Amino acid sequence: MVALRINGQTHNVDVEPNMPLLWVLRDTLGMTGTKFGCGAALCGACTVHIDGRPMRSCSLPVSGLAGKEITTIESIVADTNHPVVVAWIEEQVPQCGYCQAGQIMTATALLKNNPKPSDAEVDAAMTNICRCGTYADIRNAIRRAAALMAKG
Amino acid sequence: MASEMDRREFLVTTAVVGGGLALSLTLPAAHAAEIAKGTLNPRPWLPPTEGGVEVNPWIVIGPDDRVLIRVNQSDMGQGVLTSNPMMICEELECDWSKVESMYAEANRHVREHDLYDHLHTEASSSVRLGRVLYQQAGASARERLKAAAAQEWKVPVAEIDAKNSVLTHKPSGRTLRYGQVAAKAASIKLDREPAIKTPDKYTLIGRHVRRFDVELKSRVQAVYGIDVKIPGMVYAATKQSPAYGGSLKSFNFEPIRAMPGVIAAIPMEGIGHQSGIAVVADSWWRAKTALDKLPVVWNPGPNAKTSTSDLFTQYRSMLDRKGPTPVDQGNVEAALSGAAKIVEAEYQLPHQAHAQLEPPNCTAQVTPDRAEIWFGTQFPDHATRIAADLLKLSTDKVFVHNCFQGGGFGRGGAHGELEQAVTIAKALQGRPVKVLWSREEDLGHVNSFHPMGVARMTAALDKDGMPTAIWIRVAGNDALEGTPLIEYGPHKAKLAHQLLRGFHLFPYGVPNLRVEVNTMKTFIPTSTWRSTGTYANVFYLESFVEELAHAAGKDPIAYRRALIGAAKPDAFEDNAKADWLMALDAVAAKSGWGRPLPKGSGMGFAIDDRKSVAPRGIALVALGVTVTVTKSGALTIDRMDIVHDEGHAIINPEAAERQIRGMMAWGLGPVLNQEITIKNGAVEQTNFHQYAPPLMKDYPRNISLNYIKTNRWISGIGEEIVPLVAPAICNAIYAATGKRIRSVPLSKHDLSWA
Repeated sequence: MVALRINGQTHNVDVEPNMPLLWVLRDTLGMTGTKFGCGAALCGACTVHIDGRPMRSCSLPVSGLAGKEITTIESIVADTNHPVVVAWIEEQVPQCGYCQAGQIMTATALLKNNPKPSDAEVDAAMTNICRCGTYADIRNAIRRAAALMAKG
Repeated sequence: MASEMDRREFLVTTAVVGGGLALSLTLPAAHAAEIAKGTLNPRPWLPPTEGGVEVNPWIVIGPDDRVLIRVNQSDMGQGVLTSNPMMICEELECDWSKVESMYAEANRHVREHDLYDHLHTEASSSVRLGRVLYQQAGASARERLKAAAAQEWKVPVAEIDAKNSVLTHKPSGRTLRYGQVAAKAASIKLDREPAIKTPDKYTLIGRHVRRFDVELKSRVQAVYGIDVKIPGMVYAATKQSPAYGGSLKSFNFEPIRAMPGVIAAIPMEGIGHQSGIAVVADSWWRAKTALDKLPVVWNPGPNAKTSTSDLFTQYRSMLDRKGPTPVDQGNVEAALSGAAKIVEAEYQLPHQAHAQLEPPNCTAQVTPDRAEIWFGTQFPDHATRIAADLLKLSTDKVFVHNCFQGGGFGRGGAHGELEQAVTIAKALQGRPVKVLWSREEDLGHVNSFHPMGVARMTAALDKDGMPTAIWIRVAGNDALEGTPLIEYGPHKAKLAHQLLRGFHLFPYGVPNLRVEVNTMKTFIPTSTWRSTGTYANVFYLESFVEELAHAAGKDPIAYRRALIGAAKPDAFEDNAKADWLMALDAVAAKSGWGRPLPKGSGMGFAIDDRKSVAPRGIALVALGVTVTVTKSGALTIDRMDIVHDEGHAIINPEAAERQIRGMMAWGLGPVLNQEITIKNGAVEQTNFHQYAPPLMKDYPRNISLNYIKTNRWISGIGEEIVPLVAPAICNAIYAATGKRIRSVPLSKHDLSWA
């Protein structure tokens, strides 16, 4: 039994200690917003926040997460006016949409730590793969989200 | 929300070609009012709202005037769940804010003899194949609604107007809403079908409309195939023979039998491309963990000693002998022997995978008299038939539920994961199961790689540097494996038509022209991949034409202009010679061709019209790329200037712009890093560290999109400009460094210069 603190709630899950957080979220807890893309921390589709830092949940065994604050995309979208999500909609970012939960998680963490990132800082932080090629729209959305957040 | 000016500020430049050129403005100046969103069920195979009256198979109207439109194509991000309904709404004259959409049902489509004409999505076909159908369905429903109101009021139908979901009797001013007469309209038979609108009458088509799926996807409500959960469902991880042509010899379940959650190991022989083995467990991770520990012995099969270098050697050897010759004009030998200069170049392209971000998956539940299947597919009709065949069920007992799909790009479903899922589900006797492939399994067994290929291009130049002969030999695999070879040209050359594509009508006028096409099937399965056969031939031709210009010491734009000018009018599909020149002039103007660039920077171009050997329309596209290469060989793409044909109309420019920007990324992938290679019969690349798609840092910040207006319906807007990216970049690198790149990816080349 592992106790996980996810989106402010404690979940006691009966899984092997080496099971990656991604699969606990998706298959054990039914939180399917976090996506599987590569299983090797290469694509970013499974990005969550661990104590506020963007991490790739496909490669995080749950045994290492006791006492950590885990935030998933479900917590972000629960706020219907979340500036990053609103910006994503306003900029009409998603195409197939599969990578976008991970993109939003990475962008949210970036803006939290750096409310006015430069173009270069955005490019350096956003290392999630998008096969549809929405990168220009994501850049626009991050800029819009930063402006929304600055307005408060 | 922010004003349109704010929006524009953030958007990459969407410029319009103008000035002295005979080009028309495309974006309406005031497209600010993005129109309200419609509704979509997070499970797009289900309606967002139940109830209503089916006026025809495409259209259901609710008592509250809600209009549900059934879409016969798959939305992989190109926006068809929005743009296809726009084509109906244009004619139906209904209130767009009340429009909902969903996928047309595959079971009914097959049961009712291809009710929706086609139920597949490929080759940028949504508008090409769908526009007339959708407009007609909307117009027909509108006329029946009007006829129903006429009956109700006992007045001539000509006195009735239909607008914004309201029927008005013009003389009296009486009104009825669509929802009030939908039931009556459904029973009305029209004497004849109404004519559909011509593009000049459009009021909705061509407006910037927000896509229905964007909010669902941004709020992570959209249900992808991988997200489907059925009560009692178990999970399967699968592994196919690593080497193509190999097969499962034996396995031993005992070492994994007691592992947590493990239920069964199920061999899968004689299905799909490769035999394999599945482990079923109560979670996918447990199934995958057990599968990795399962002792499996494979028969290596006939290809286990073959590698990419062997295949390239075979293909290149075909370039040394005469091949099937579909195009043979004039006397190439004579021109070569009398040439002032001969230019020869060989090009090579490796296999590519789709690597759509959602790994292949399929959920199935099979009982003796029914199969339910959930996955995202570009081919729900084929999927229905494939499952029925495998299960020995009639198609009316197979229900394919098309889910949101994490990328298609031509791979798009009805592949191995479906065959595996129904095979495993049948073995599980009614228990639902989700098959999910690891990324390693996906890259190793794409089922439909883009083919590798080679070309030798030879030209005879006269004393002015203009070609008197061009001789092309290509060799490769058919990009549409399984399609019969065609016989083409004066010698009835037998070949795969995608290997000839674009050379059959040659846009550059040259008195002596020969094209030889060698088709060789290998054990690597191939199929559609965003742009398919055009990808290779545009790389060969557009690289070579700039090589010729440089050999002649001429400006590559002016050189192309002269060659296009020298081509006969019948060398162009749809009489497009003037449009080629318009596209060429536009790309030169928009990219600032001729302006001085610093040392280490350069500009390159490419142009194409996407023609197919079996004509199905064209779209003029041109691309200018400006790059900078540092002395140590680091490449930056400074700008991309895109020229795209809009023809009579683009249904939803909001979606089209994003398709075009996406195509730039798709085209960049194979240029920068991506390559699939084979070693010992198996794919070498296992994951994104070895098959690395472009990231945001690779995506240029300056892209201008410029439409040109032509007098045609364009072939499509989903893949047209992909093939231009590689040659335009390689041409720009040459201009910047003097290094000619004749194969990609660039990661295998040293771009440094002194």
